[in-house]
Amino acid sequence: MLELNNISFQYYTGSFSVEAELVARKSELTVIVGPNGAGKSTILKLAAGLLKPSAGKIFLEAKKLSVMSRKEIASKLAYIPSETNSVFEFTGREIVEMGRYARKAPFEPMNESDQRAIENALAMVDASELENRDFRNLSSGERQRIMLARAIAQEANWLLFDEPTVHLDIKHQIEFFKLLKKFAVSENKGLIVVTHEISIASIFADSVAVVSNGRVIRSGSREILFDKKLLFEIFGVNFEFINIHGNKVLFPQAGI
Amino acid sequence: MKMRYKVYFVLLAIIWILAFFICLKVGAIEMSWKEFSKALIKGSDEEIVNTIIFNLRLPRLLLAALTGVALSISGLLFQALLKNPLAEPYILGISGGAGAGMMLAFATGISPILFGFSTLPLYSFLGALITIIFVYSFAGGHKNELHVNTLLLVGIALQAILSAFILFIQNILEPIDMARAFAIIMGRIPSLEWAQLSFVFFVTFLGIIPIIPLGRSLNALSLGDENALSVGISVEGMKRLIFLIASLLTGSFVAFTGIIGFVGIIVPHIARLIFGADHRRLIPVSIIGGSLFLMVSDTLARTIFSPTELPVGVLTAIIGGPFFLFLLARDGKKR
Repeated sequence: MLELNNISFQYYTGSFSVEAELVARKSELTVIVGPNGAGKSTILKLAAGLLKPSAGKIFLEAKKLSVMSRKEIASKLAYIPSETNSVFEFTGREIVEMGRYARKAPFEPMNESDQRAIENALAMVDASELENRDFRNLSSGERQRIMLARAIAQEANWLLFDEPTVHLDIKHQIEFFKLLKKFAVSENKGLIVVTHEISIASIFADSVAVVSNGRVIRSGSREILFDKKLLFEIFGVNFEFINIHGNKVLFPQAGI
Repeated sequence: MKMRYKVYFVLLAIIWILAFFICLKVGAIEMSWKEFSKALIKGSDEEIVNTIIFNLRLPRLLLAALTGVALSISGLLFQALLKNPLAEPYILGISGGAGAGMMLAFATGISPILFGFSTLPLYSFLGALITIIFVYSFAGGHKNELHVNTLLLVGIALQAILSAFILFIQNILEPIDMARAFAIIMGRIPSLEWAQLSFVFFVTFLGIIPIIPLGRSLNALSLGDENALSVGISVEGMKRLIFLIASLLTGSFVAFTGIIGFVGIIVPHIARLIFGADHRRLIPVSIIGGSLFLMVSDTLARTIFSPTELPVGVLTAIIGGPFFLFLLARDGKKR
């Protein structure tokens, strides 16, 4: 379990604060939804240990995150930002290889099992042909796949994604979430995804946290997303849902 | 390491060795290869030739090599930390800070000679360290909101301010003789006594040894702080180490050579073009390439207008300035 216990956090500028309570489980896809600027990414970064909360505790598999070393965290948890750019000429493979750093002493060379993990990860996200390409020249979708491969090569139990599908078209968005869902179940991983693709979240999420104004205002199963009043309050848009093969799917009323 | 890189590396080493001997041989006093090799192997019959080679040219060549190492590695470290291939001790104002620290120590007379060594390098080191912390904080680095372009502007402004400050102090101390101030601002490589040179060797090793195992950490860091954290690198620790070591290397060398600009941009950039972005390769390549670059530059500086000498800082600025502008124009278009 990954648990955020009464967390609060404030940015230097003091204009925005976050308070959060969140539980994510293994083999599940936990989705954090909310409008722009609600604090979703901040909550995810807190969960990944990239930001330090000013109060409250975070538990990663029953161990306090604040007492773990960066290496220990990296061996259990991988974080994938929404966009990664490099100013230097790394190849795709060199980026994926970084996922193995936490398992290595400084001079310990990459052995056969590392190479295998890197190649499997690249193959899994269909990015094998990108391994020798200059990372700077890849499209944002291709860069995202390389970063996903890196997270897989990290062999962590927890994968945290910040807006992973921003640069993907609808077909690739659906495929991406299918892949995540399969990955969560078959590999027993805990996945947390921040997104504002609320329709897609309503199809794939096992568990949902709704964030508004820096607070987790509602969390629970996917069912909570079908509260029209709540959705209107948060997004300012009326949603309808339809039944497709017995599955409820959300879609916004454009109001034209 | 891939085969291709091994070949390049061996070639670089061979060029280094050839350059070393050619640089040692050429100069205002000409000698034949035969005479030169005899002097190297068993000493020349003419005492003056031995003195020129072993007490003038060799210490100077070695200091040039070590300075090249220090400046290139400092540049490489700053570039990874700041995610900017234009970052470098001179551009960031750190060399200026070192020079100003040294000048202040001169002016106030607080730099005693301890155990036969001048304590000036300590002050230039402190000047460098204070400057880097100032520049970094000014550009928002301490709040995790680093503005990379602001950083370069602050550095360039500081470099101008600190150069003026150095000249100002010199003007108050000895208005007639400005040579010392100019020697700090446009660096040159002196022929040090062997005792001093061994101190410089020691400082260089002190700075380089902790860097050797950090190739992977620098790779991750050069993709961003969050990126480094998420693959298990302790970013705060790395930052402190880089500030300390780059200040140590830049600062203590400024005390001996004055400010030599742009080396830290040129060398790592060419290294990346040939060897890619992996710091496990870039660290050794910058060490060898940096020493090669400054050995050759300083030899050119002392021979082109022979018998008069050009400060090597003038030469690196003439090459490096346009190089900097070229990179700026190219990266500007990409943004």
